Amino acid sequence: MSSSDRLTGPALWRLGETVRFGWREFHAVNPPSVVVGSILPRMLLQILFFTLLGGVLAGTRHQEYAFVGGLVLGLAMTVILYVSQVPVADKESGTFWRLRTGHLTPMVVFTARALPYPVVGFAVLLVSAAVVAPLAGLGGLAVRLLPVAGIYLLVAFTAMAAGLAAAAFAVGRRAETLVSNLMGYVVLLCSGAFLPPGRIPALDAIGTVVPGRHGLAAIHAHLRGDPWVSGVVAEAVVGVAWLGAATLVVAVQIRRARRHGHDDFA
Amino acid sequence: MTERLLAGGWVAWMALRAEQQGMRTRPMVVVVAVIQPVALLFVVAGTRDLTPGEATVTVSAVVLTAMWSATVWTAGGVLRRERGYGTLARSVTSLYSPSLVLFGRSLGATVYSAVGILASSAVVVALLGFRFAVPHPGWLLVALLVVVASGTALGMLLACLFLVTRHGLAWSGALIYPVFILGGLLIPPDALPVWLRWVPALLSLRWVHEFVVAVSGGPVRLAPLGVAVALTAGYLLLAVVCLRVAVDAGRRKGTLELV
Repeated sequence: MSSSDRLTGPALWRLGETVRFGWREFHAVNPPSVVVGSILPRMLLQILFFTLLGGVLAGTRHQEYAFVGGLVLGLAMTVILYVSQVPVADKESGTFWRLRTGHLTPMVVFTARALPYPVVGFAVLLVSAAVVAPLAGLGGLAVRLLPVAGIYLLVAFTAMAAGLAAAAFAVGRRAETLVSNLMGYVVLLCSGAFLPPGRIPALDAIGTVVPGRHGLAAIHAHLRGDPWVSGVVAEAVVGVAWLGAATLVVAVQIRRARRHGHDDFA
Repeated sequence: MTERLLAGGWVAWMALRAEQQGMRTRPMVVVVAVIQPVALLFVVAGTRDLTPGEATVTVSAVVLTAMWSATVWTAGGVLRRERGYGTLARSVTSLYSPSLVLFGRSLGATVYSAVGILASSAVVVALLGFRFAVPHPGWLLVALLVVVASGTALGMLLACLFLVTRHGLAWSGALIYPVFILGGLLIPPDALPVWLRWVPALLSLRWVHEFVVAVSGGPVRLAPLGVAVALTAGYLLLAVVCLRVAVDAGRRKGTLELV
């Protein structure tokens, strides 16, 4: 493809190049040594902690519940926290103006570059589950979860969308650490991952729009032998809604950037 | 002698103030001193109904767990941040002992975090309507002072560890959950495998927790608090020696800011 073709080429080619760039960017910021030496142990120990805590607080049945939810917690909290690296990279490199003037809209570029986060997060989750389940004596439960592993992947994408919205909202004030962590703790409290729904009504109300809540309900429904497809659909809808929220936030940031004449999410 | 003591006190006070002013602009302080204890309290208290005695023990475990996080992310990061700001050499090669400056900064970070953790925990306790058993408030205050002293000493020790590695931030994240699991606070030692039950004994905060557990359910037992004080003294001594070795080595090799 010649250079002129590339300038006017199909949107799909541009999108593919952006995705490819996203992988290279992810690899540069999170090389295998960081994924294996930092992200994996953190997620693994987080899941182990919540699983053991469930058993300590409310016995074996809650330990099983906490393991199923702990996998969602470890995955969602990690993806939400780390995906903020995408807009932060533009903030720190001063490259937001190039996104604004490109052929692809900034939100499409952000989303394409963020794709490695849920995919790698899901891979790390599989390894974590394989280690934690035997340690906690829950190997049988882990095997029963295998047919619905795809729901965890869906949750990873929902968390990515929510994480992008949170980061795009906060990165201008350098508050992405605070907002991303806050979002992670909202997932902990409201997703039903550790606290079963019905305990604190206010948290349940917030939980309906929190990543992981409906996916987790679908997983528990599968374990009980109940229909679970509606939970998956609801989780997907929540993900799309968060992607819409992120698009809105980025659009507002662009509008502000044009009005104030700056280009760094300030 | 009096003049030296006053000068030392002034240096520690200035370091404390400087650290606390810096903490006001750091979002991570809000995460570890407010958001985390609130979330943990809701999670632990929401899972089951607690008797007044259990409520005291639960709040103690959550507060001390949050103190560990806060120590790692705030006091433990003092020297790492100094290196990032380019002020490390000035802090550890001034007229005054580097240990004194580090002590002041670590104390400032620990007090600031402790106030945040206690205040946010108090709000959650009030919101959840916990009925509290506080049979010996004076001794609980003593326990709190030991926690602050322990947090300060642990913070100094961690700060020295983060001084000799360029991966201090990664280490900070890596140190949180092992202690959550093995620290003997939210996960009691008897829930751990037998071959790991000695690990919680190394953490002073776990002994403070044991003291609070004993106080909330019966007479005052000073032995756990004594062990916590002894461990705190050990952390402090180790931190002073480590800092001296790290600074001397850095100055000799010219790598103080370059690790």
